[in-house]
Amino acid sequence: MPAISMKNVTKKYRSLTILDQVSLNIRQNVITGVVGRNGAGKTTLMKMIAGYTKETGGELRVFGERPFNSLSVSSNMIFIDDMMNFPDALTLGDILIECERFYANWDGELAKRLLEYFYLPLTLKHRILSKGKRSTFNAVVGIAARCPLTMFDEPITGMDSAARRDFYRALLKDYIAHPRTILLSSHHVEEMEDLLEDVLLIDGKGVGFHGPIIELQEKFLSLQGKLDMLEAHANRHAVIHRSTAGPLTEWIVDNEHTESEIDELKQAGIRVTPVSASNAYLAMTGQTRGGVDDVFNAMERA
Amino acid sequence: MFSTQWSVHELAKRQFLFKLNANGPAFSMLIVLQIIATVFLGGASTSTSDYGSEPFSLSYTTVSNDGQVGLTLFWALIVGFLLTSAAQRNESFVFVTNRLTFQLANFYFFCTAALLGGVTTVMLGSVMKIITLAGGHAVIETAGLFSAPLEFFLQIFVMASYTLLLMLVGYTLGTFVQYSRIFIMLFALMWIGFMQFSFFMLGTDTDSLLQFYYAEPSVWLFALKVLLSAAALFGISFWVTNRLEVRNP
Amino acid sequence: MMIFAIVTPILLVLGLLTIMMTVKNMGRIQIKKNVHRKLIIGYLILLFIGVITAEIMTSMNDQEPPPKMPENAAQFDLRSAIEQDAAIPERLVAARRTHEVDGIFAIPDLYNGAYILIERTPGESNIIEETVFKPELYAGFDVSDGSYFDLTGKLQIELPVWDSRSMRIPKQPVNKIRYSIYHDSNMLTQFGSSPSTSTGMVSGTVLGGMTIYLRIPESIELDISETEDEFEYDQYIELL
Repeated sequence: MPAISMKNVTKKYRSLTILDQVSLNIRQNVITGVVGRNGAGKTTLMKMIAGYTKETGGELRVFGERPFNSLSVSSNMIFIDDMMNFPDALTLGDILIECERFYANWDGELAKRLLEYFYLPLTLKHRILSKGKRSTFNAVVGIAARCPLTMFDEPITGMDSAARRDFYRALLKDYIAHPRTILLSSHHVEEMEDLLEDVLLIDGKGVGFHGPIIELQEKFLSLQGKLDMLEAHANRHAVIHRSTAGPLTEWIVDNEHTESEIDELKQAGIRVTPVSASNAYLAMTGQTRGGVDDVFNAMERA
Repeated sequence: MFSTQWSVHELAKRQFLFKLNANGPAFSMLIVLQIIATVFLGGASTSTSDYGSEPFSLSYTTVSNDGQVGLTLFWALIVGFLLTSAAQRNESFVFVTNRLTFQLANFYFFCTAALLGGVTTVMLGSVMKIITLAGGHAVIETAGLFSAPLEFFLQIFVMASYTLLLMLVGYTLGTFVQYSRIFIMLFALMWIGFMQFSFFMLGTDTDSLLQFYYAEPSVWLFALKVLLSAAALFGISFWVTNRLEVRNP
Repeated sequence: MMIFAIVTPILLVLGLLTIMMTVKNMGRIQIKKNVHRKLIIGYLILLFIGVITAEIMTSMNDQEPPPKMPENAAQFDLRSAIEQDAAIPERLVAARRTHEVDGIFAIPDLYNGAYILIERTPGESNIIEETVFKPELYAGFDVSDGSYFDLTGKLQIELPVWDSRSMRIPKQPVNKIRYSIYHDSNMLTQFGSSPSTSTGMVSGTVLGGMTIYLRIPESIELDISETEDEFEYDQYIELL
C-alpha cells in the first residue's frame, strides 16, 4: 500500500488552478524529492498531503485516510518549512519539550545533540534566530520527530553549504536507522541526488516525472556536436532541449536510442554522454533555456 | 496502518497544555491590567462626593471593584480575539492537531483563563476593601469569604461566566475575521447600526441583551443561559474554523 | 449621537490594538515561560493574603452603614407641616423645652446657623414653648430603590442657650462626616443574598439646617433685630 495516493487531485485557489488532475502514488519508506520550478505547486501539494488545505477535487489518501482534519494523519506526519511558527513565549528548549508531547517517536536526545552540533543554544527564542539557523532548527525538529511521513518544504533555505551538507547527512543517517516516508522539496537537485530514491517533478500543474532517480538519470542523452551534424543525425527522437555554447551545440534527447543509433552518432563526431538527474530536471523544466536573456534580447531588438 | 493513534480527547488535552505554555504572556497581561486597575485607575472604582459647607460637611466615597471587572472583561475580549490569529493557528498546527482538537484546546484554554479572571477579580475586591478600610470610616457592604463563602464563590462563578462569554464572543468575531476580512467591515457597520439603533430606542435594546444575563435571578437559569450561549458561540466559531485552511498564502 | 457611534469604536479599537501589541511584544522580550507561571502563582498568593487581611480588617471594623431613608421622607417639609399643624415625625425632634421669660424676649446675636420659626399664640403667659428640630443630612441617592442614606443621626448640635430674657444660639460644632463605602461590583452581586445597597451612582444630597420652632404668647414682647444683609441665608428668622 502506498503511503500517499492521489487520484485526479485538483487544487484551486479561487479561480486559480494550482494542481490539475494529479494522480500518483508515493511508496512507503522512500525518500522522494519533490522538484519543480517556483510556483509549480510543490508546496501546495505538500500542504494538501499535510491536511493543512483541502483538495478541491479528486481523491487524496495518506496512509489510507483523507488528511484534511484527520487526527491520525496529523499524528503520523510532520511538515517542516520556513514558515513554521513557534510561540514567542517559548525558547528552543521549551519547543523541544512540546514536541515530545506530540510526537510519539520523538527523540529528544538526538534533537539536543544536533542542536548542540549546529550551535543552537536551547535558551534562545525561535523568533530571534537568523534565517539559516531557523531553517536548521526546523530541520532538526523534522528529523527528530521520526514521523512515519516527514515532509520538508525547502528545508535548506538560508543554510550555508556546510549546514546543508550536514542536514542531508543527518537526514540520511536517521532515515537508514529509522526508515520512514520522506518528501523533500528543493531547487537544488544536484545536492540531493545522492539522497533521493524517487523524484517527483511537478510541472505544468501536474506530474512531469515520477519514478526512481536512476530512471531520470537514464531518461536522456546529451549530444554535443556541430549543429549541422546534429540536425542530420539526431532526428529520430524527441529533442527536449537545445543549447549552444561556442561552436558546439548541445541537444538533450530522449534516451530511446538503440546501440546502433548511438554508434552512428558517435561516428558522426557527436559526443554522447549521459545526463545527470539535476541536468535532466533542469532540461525538463526548461531552466537551461536562454530564458531570461531572451527577454532582454527581445527588448533590445524592439 | 498508523503507527500512532491519538484520541481526540487526549490530543485536545495536549494542545491545551501547549497553549497554556505558549500563551503565558496573556496571563501576565491580565495581572498587569488588574494592577493598573487597582493602582492607577483607583478612581474608576472610586467615586467621592463632597457636600455641604460649614458647619456640616460630608465626604462620601464609594469604592468597588468595578474597574477591575471592566478591565478583566476587556482583556477577555482581546484574548479571545488573539487566539484566532493566523500565528496562533500555525503554531498549533505545527504540532499534531485537527480543527476539532484545536477548537477544543482553545475552549479549555478559555475556561482556564476565565476561571483565573474570575478568581483574581473577586479577590481584588478584597484588596479594594483593604484600601477602603485603610481610609477609615469605612463601611463594607458586601460579605467576604468567611462570612458568606457561598456568595464569594457565586461571585467567582458569575465573573468567570461573563469572562468566558466575552472570550468566546471575541473568539467568534475573530474567527469570522480570519475567514474573510470582509467581516471587519461588516462588524463595523453592524456596530454603528447598533449604536444608532440603540440611541433611537433609548437604550432599550442594548439593555435587553444585557438583562438577559444580568437580570436573571436564578443561579441555575443563569448557568443554563451561559452554557447555552457558550455552546452556541462555540458551535458557530467551530463551523467556521472547520473550514479554515492553515498556512494558506 | 453619530459622533459617539463612530468615536467609541475607534477608541475601543485603539485600546485593543495597544493591548494586542503589548501582549505580542511581551513574548518577544526574553521572558521564560516559567516566569509567567511564577508571576501568576505569586499574584494569586498575594491576592489570597489580601483576602485574609481584608476579612480580618472587616471583622475588626465595627462601622455600620448609615440607615436608609426613602426619598420622600428625606424631603419632609417642616415649615408647611408646622403651618398646617400636621404631624411631624418624632425622629426629627431634637428637644422640646419650655422656658419662662419676664415679659420681654430677645434674640440677640442672631441666627447662628439655625432657622427660627416664631408663632405667636393668643393668651397671657410668660411661657415659651420651644421645639428644636434636628438639622438633616441625607446623601447618596440610590437610584435603584429611591432612597438616601440618613446621616442625620451623625450630626452633632448645640441646643440654644436660654436665660430669663433671651435665647442665644451657640456656634455649632463643625461636623465633618466622612464615609467610605465599599461594595462589590454590581455585576458580581447578581445572586447575592444582600443585593448591593448602592449602585455606585451616588448623587444628590438633602441638607436641612437646624430649625427652632418657638410658640410665644402674644403677651411677651419680642425684641428681634432685623438683619440688613439679605445674603446671609443661614441666618433666618420668620414670623408665622
